[in-house]
Amino acid sequence: MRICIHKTTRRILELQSAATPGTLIRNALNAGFKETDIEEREVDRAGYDAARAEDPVVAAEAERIAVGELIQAKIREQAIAALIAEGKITADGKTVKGKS
Amino acid sequence: MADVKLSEIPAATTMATGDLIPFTTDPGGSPISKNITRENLFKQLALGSDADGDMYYRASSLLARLAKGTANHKLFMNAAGTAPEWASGIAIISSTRLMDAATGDVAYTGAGFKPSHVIVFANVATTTMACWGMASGTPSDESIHYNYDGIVNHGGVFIYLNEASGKRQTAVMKTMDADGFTLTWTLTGATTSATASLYFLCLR
Repeated sequence: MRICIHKTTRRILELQSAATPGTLIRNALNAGFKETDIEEREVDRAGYDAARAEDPVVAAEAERIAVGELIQAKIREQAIAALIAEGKITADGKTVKGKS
Repeated sequence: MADVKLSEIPAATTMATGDLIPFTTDPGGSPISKNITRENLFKQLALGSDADGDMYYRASSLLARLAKGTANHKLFMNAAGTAPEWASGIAIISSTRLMDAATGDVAYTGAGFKPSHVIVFANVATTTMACWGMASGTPSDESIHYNYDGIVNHGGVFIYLNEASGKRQTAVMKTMDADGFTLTWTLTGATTSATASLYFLCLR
């Protein structure tokens, strides 16, 4: 696969799985980037993951997703505790008849 | 023309409509290789390393051999429209699109042929933004998309990633190219810097 990177920000501008060399450069130029600011690379999965690790937007997205998952987990935990306290479900997650 | 032995026909003889050369199923005679038999005529179809499954087609007033194709490949006309060829005719291209990328044309290459139709699945991870679209070579893009507000909608664009009211990335098919296609993307509003995943199924 090929990726195009904005050198200054380390952002991955685009990925294409089977592009011919130069395609992503032309796309970036077409989007207004300067040729000296962009770099096209052929990478494997590990190379792509390495580039993503350097991409500040990807890192921010990952952080946002992680925080979201933490919040979801906490909400789920509190909801389960509340249902157990109300006697609607048992501690192993089974519903109590007549209470659901 | 009256009946005459082939060996007695003058070299410059022009055959006339209605003149017939009778075939014989008798492979005997001398020499056998020069006897006009169906067997000997079929031998003239040996155009190289012929194999079962090969096909023959007209090329520059002669016969040319099309070697048998790979299993489950399909027969297409080549890009020049001059000869048949075997190919799968299907390719998948995966790509990404920054939600805050500027309006402009984007070329997608590597299909290996000029598609006639393209189907796309697109989404932005951990959001409700998703889209399923299809396009042909003519401006007839269509898509179904799942919006930021959980509403499923449809429209006359190939890709519609609706982040919020007045904030979206959309794309229409501009051209089908020799090795892929080109989309015209339009950025509307101030979108966030998320990354959309795109999966294109290209059909020859």
